[in-house]
Amino acid sequence: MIAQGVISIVAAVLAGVACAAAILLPRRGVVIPALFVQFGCAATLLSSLPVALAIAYAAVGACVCGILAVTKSREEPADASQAVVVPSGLTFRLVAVLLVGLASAALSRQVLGTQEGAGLGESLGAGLLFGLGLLHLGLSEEPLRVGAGLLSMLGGFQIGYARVEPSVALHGLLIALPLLIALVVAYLITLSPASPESRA
Amino acid sequence: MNAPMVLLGLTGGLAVAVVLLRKQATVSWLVASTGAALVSVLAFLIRVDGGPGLPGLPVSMAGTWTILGRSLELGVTNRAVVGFVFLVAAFMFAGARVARPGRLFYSGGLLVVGLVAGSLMAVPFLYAAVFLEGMALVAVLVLYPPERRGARAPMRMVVLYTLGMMALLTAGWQAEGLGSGSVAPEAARTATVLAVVGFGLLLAAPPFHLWLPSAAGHSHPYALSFVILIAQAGALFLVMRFFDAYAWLRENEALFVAARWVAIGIAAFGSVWAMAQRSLARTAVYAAMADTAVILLAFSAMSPAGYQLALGLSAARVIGLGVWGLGASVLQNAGAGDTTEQLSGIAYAAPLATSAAMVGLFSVAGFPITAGFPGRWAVMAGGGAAAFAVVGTIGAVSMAAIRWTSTVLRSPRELSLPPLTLLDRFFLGVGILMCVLLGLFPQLLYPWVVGALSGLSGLSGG
Repeated sequence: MIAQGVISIVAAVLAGVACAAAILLPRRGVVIPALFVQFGCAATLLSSLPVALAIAYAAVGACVCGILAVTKSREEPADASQAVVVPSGLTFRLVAVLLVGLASAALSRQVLGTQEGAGLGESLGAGLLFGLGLLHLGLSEEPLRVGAGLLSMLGGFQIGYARVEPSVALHGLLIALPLLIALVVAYLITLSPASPESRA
Repeated sequence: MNAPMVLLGLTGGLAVAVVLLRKQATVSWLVASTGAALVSVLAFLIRVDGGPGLPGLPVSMAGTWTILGRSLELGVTNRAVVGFVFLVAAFMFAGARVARPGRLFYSGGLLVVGLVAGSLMAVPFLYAAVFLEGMALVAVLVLYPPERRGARAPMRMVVLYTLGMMALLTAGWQAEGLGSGSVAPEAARTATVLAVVGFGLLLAAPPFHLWLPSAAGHSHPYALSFVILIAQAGALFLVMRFFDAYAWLRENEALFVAARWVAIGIAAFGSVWAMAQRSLARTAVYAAMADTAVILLAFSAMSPAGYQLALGLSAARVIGLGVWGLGASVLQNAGAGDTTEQLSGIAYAAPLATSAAMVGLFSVAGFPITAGFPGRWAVMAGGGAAAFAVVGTIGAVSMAAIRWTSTVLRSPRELSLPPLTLLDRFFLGVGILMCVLLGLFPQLLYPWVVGALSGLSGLSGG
């Protein structure tokens, strides 16, 4: 029981670090492996669901990363009309990650901590993924990074929701959603011109 | 075999057939439009669980499809709205032959309507939010087929619908703890706030409308009309089912008062922005937003008549927005463009298409003698702040439409647009006629649409 608690806390911290890395180093070569780590950690934290569903979630995560990895963006210069004015300095991102990470970790403990059986790892993982995913969304404009933020946020939501909703059918649907989102993101990546930062 | 399986299976089969037949434009069009019409007829008339159905058809189907302990159900509570959604799709698919909104329109559109139908049949109904999220993901393909650039709108749409789904699922979890009976508003505050935020996200109410103007700038006008109509119909019916299921929500008078003032705010925002646009598509999008506000105003009357009116208005907008989309698409396909400069004097080069776009816009504005007006008249008859808001909305959005009319009637320009085929003329003419006919004879549309409410016993008072 103690070992399980330690594993879930490690998984939650690892998920948060991966999510933070994707925000701080917004390169394709970092974002996709970070997503892979997040899916693995989130699957570990879905302990309240049947094991088969947690395994399915990990498998979906692998598929999602595979889809995004093999998708090539158009090598045309970005359209001037799509120019983005989003704060992008590393210092700004680091401060934002720290603030949002701490706030979401504290809030999640308050929200999910009252649920019966919810461990520290689960609430921490849910909060970090949801909060940092939301931050990633706010700081991004290209489909790959917005998609990564959305998937992180959805992962955080699923960890928390698994604790309160027993329906296997609903969780099955929710687990399939990242795959659909990845397909849409991949489709949009092929439509959008590549931006310099995501090409690296 | 059960009714939901038949309806959704048929829809999926049609989508596959349309993909296989994609190189034969006429056959794809016929399969999609007649197929959707057939599914609509089936939804209305299929005999479910031995109840009333198609006269002379002895076959009765089970109304429930159980999957992993949860179910999709077709019954008296939802068959009219399911049929309505497929009918809207059939109407829009029929016009797509002329509008030519992109190569993924029929297949993606069928999946979109299938997912919205699934959301209407989902039991417990809270799971509808997941279906609507799936609908938003597929709608990206309809709005941004491979021949169009995506910009930022598609991801915004997906993000906002995902947030809406999360808000509604969380509201549902909270609601389960409260039960379906009467609860003090203070006890239900969290669930109410989450539900309202979720509805706002799904109905694209400001400030959650960000994907709409961007989509108007990049998507085909007809595809945009289709997605707005189907997605918001699904969202509206979900709102109604939510209110029908929970007494603590439909008995919360303060919530209805707040909804009225929020609707007035949305109406003002949509109207002012509609007047300020230099793009026809964006004008129509903001006009549709003001129209959603009028639907919300009808809903906020907190009476069965108000709920019926909201359903009637959501049906009337199908005609207005559909005809606008048809006219604007023909203009855009011919290379006429979308801005004030590009459309200046276009009425002399393409009179029928321009007329359709303008009549459709006037109908979305709720101008007298168009399909959008009778419902607004009924809301105005209720008096109070809602009446003033409706009058203001009609006035402001009509002003925008009048400004566009004056733009398209400016001095003729040297333009060589391709001539319209007989089929184009037929569809555009019928569209204009429908807008006017349903404005003069609303009894052709409203009575059977508002009957859809009869299945919701909580709202209809039955």
